[in-house]
Amino acid sequence: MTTHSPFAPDAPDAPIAPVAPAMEAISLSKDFRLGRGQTLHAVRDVSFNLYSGGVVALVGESGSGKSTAARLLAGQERLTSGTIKLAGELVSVGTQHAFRKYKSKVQYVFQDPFSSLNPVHTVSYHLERPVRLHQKGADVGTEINTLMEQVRLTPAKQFLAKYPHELSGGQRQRVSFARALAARPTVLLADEPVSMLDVSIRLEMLALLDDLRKRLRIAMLYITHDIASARYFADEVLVMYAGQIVERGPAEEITQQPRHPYTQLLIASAPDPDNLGSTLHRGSVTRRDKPAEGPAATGCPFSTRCPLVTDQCRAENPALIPLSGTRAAACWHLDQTDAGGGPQLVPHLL
Amino acid sequence: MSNGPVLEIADFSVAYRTPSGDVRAVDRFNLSLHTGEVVGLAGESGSGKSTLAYGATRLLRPPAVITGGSVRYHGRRLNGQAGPAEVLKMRGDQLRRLRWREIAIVFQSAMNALNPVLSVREQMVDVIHAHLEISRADAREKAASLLDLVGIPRTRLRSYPHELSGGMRQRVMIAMALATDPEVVIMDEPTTALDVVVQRDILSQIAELREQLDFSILFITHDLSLLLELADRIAVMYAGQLLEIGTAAEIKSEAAHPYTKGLLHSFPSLRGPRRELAGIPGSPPDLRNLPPGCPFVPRCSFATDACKDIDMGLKPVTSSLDPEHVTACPFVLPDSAAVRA
Repeated sequence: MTTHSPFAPDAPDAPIAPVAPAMEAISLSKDFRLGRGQTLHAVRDVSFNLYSGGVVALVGESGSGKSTAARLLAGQERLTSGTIKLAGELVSVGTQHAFRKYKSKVQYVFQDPFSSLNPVHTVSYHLERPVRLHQKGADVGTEINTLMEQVRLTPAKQFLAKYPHELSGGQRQRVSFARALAARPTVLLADEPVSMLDVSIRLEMLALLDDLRKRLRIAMLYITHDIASARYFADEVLVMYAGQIVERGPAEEITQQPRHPYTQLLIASAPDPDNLGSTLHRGSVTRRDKPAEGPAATGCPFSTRCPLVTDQCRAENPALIPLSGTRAAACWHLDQTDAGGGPQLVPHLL
Repeated sequence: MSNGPVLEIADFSVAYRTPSGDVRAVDRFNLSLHTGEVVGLAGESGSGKSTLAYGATRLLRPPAVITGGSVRYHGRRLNGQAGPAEVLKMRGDQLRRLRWREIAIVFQSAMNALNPVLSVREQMVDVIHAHLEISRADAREKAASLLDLVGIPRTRLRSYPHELSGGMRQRVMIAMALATDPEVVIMDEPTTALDVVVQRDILSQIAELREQLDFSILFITHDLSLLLELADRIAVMYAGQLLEIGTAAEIKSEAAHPYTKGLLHSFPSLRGPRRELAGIPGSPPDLRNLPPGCPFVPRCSFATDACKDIDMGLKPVTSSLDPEHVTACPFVLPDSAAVRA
């Protein structure tokens, strides 16, 4: 299998350089009213920067607020509080015109290539419309051919007249990428772009995204629950739990020396093929008395599941504490979580 | 696992009849599941793994047709009769006794497999009542104890599927499959739609239940990394055919088929140094139009003209000490380190 090696094995994590960010998210919050006076804090005080040609991964379980955060950036949800800046300028999507202009810079790729393409339209229809809308006066034919080449659906002629049901899952997701690129965006928000695809196809897709961000200098937000793929694909990893960032830092550091107990749980949960006959084999299973509880309403949201929990955790929600120039974690007990190389809390967490 | 086989699938073939000819979704498939064993079946979408599972339990509808082979079931409860039961020759009433009571299935999508207008209790009682001869009241008590087994509070019996999280729904599916104490449980991608923490939870639950209740599992998934941890033996399927069978340790360290090697290099690892990754180029073949010989030829970097003439029979891997480790690729390939270079 010597086809292509998408991610060089020892590539240094891209420096978080003092260049101007392509997009800044500053203290984003989003509340949903549930009725009966209840409020769901889907996103709480989340801040991060996206840089041209860089990838930031947003990692967390279902319901952690990662998709809501992306929808806020895409202008699809109204912010409860916070600001978004695009290339240094404050974003406002109040009017239809302003929203369309914003859309041509910031594009979204959906998770499910089976439902995000219209089954009654051909590939060329899916690409023609955004090209006409966002690039007035461009030669539509040439533009579509360029897009098809960028996502490596070649020869383009063979695919343009096809309908989504005639394509494989991987090919469909390539069409979704091409559709997003049609607007020539500076920022791409990819919401679980490979989780619906077969494992053997995922790598090729991530390699394609990696190539696109490098070649087109796109700033990318990669949303996933698979922290292993974030290790290889992202520069910076943000771990979300219950709407807030609990740990952040360079991808390699976060995955090799996780400090927040939740990050340690995430990493311990990922299938580990190098660990043959581990916890799941005969004789080594530990009995769990009760199913995992949801996030706590007050204090640290992870306090209901955390083995280090104390009264302070139940009462007060910790803020992100800087660990180094590029790393931070939100936990009252960071002094106890330094495992020096591997997760130590795992036996208590699983 | 020195126990005898509980389910033996031999030369099994399934075709989908279409106006333009048969599509051979499963082709001369051989696999046996031993008592108490977890066998993992790995393959991409469209490789025929679900068709195999549903075919072997006679759950397929036309245009799918079983075109040959045999499926023998050696259940402990069937000892009254002489020898194993041939599933493919069973009549309707025999099949009804076999399904769920002997062989249960955990279906792929819990969201679609549970009835949205019935409460958890109603659907569980339905199953228990249909397959075991006990009263409704006993069935209700059994439903409650099954929820205990999978770690869901009894109060959830009154919930409807939409009120449960994805992980809970999947646990309900597992509880229902175990309702009648089956000997074989077929799990078709039971954790694919779940995130990793919930997936890990459910897998340890499955491992724990198997120790308690001692059933055999055929675990179907496209995620080989999961099987390496969970399964005793792994079978790799591609385009309806078996490419390789071996113990998890053999598959991990001595994979013989280029496709298996490709799968092993396609997932990013979390631990240890970063390794170079390579996907498998190309896409799965069109089953209506398979190349002669090995179906993996168009995507295989070692393919030669000789690959078009091989018969796809499984033969022991010459480089391995384990005679049970078999592959359809007759050529000895350079070891995986050289493949990566």
